Amino acid sequence: MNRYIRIGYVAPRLVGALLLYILIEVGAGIALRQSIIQGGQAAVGARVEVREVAVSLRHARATIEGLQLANPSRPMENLLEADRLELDFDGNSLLRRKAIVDHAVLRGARFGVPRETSGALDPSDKTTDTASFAPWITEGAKNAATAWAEKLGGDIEGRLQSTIDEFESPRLADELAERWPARYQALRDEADALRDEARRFRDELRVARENPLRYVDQLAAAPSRLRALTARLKQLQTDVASLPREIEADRQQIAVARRADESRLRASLAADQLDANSLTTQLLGDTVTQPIAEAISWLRWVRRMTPSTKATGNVTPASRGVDVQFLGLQQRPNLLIRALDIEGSATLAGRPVEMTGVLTGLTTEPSLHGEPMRLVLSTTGGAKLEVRATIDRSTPVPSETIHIDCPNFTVPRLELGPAAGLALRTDPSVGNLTVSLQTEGEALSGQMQLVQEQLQIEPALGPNASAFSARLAEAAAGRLGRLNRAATRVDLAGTLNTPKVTVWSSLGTGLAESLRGAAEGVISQERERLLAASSEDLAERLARFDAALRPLQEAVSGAVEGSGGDLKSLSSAVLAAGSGRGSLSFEKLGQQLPKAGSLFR
Amino acid sequence: MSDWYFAPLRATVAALVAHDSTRQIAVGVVLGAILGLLPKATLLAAIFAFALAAFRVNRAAGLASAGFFAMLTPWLDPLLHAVGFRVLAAPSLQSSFAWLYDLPLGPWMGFHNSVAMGSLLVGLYIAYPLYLAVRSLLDRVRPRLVSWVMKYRVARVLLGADVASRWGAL
Repeated sequence: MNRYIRIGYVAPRLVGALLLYILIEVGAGIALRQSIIQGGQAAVGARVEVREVAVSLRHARATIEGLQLANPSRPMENLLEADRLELDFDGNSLLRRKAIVDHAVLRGARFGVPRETSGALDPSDKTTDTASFAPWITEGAKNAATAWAEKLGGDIEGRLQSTIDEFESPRLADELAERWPARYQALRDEADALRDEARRFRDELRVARENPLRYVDQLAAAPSRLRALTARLKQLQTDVASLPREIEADRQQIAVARRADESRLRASLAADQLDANSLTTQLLGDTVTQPIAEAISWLRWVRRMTPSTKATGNVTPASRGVDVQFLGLQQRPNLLIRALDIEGSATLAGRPVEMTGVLTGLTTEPSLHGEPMRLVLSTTGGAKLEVRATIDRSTPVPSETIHIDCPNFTVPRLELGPAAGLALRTDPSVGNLTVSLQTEGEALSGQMQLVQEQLQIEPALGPNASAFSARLAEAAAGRLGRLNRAATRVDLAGTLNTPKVTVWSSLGTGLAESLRGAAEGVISQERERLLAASSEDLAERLARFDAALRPLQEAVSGAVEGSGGDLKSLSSAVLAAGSGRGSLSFEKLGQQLPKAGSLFR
Repeated sequence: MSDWYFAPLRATVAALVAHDSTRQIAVGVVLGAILGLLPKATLLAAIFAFALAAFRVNRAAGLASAGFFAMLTPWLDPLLHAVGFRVLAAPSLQSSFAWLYDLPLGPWMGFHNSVAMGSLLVGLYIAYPLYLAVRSLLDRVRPRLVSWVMKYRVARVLLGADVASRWGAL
């Protein structure tokens, strides 16, 4: 043996190898710590911190303590914090250059814990998860609901009164009261003028009759002048006779305007402008959408962290030559964690909970592993939650399935509307939440159902609430008291980056119906009261108008009658003059007169 | 620093004037040739390096041979790859290679690499001819070469420096 082998060389090397092994037992943790930090930061895209790593080659075990993974979207928050991670490797796999963990335990895991320093690798990088979620949870819906609440809580009486002040019917009544006296005055003036004209005609006729030769022209024109005066009288009488019909037509116009005013008043304060969906959003927005938004964000993160890997070909390029994959050889991933037990704590619905779960099939090469990654997570304590997720990267099209059950959790107290005025307050209620999400490639589908029990909604009055708001709150209290159960369903569609949400909820609908009913009742009462007052005011205006019109009517009638009498006697005089009952008739006078030319010879 | 520059020359001189037999020198050259051809980040290379150091062969000749063949690899790699890939891709050998690869430390050996396999095969193929060639060459030229080298002061200096450096290390 000694002839071929240098024992003096081999023996020290063997001792050296033993020392090296001991050194590795002690110092491998330092190297592994560095590789975890560098590899983790490359994978997560944010700072990864590890307090201590211990490695045991003999037991093929690694223990990582004080693990912190910063959130790349929110650098001042840790995506994951864990007190301790224990990894039990398969020794045979390590000899085959594969890091396969048979069993791992993650203890003291916490999610979303704030950091003291930024976890961003590059402080200038402000990358955040900006993918839109859904228009349903935008501020618009909240504003709509708040605006409605403010509208109800505002000066309804004042707005009713201002609407009444803009009524058309009183304006028409006032216009009538101004127009008709003027009209009567004009008729009266016409009657007086006619009478004066008749009297003047009579006097002129009398003078002409006394000296017919001198006033022969006037006497000849007398009949036509009389006919003109008679025609004016007839027109005046016709006008006076049509007055009642015109007055009635104006009254009808006022009645029509009155009806239009009433319709406008009812339309202007109709309580059907509250969108049930806006109310649902305001009352359940965060409660309903937060789990979905978190689940989708988580899915996006998982999609980034675990991209699909294609099965490697038979030949892989190497620094020199190529590495050949032999046919018939079962390929295994370079890193595989068969089962990872998770123990930790979290905050759910504002309550601390204990969390346990198992993650299986976590690997860097899912296509080689051939099985999907599965996560089962449940909580105990303040709130119960069960999450079952399947992440499949073994096929060319990545897919995920998430199912979340959250029974009997507390939906927190919520308030809708201005606190100083009229607001709606929901007491904490018991909710049962079920979320089911599926993704296939980029396509997203799923449904969320929330059933709320022991629901209590009551109106709340702030210090600036008006008397009307108080009446509304009183009317709404009874109706809202009957709303003690609500079901909400959210349908998800679209893609991971642009999910589309369709919401249906019995809460928003019921609440809107209750509030609308209460508001309609109160507004209707107030409206009818003000309408009655307005009607009374209009009736008074019309009565005053009638009273003012009556003497005018009598005066005009008297003036017309007087004019008629004068014209009648004038007509008799003219006829008498024409028939010769006077000293000289017009015809006789004409016949007795010599030829026109002889008189002035 | 000077030790680093003169080490190859000193190794050559030491290999020639050492008391090792020509057989030991030839085996050292063969082991060094295979080691020089092999990719170094494999367990195969480590095994050959350990063999070169552990067996009673001329280490200086082995290291010189390894350096020489390592310098040739840029030109030899296409040939080594072609040979290795042809063997690794042979359908009839797939199950055997798969079994070997699946053994503990199989992937660390590196034989699934085409250049490593080609280097191993070419190295083994030239091993015996190289052994014979080196041995016959040494048998013929070594006595004359030793006497010729020892005539020069520089050779003695190199050997003395080698001894001195060993003592210095102690």
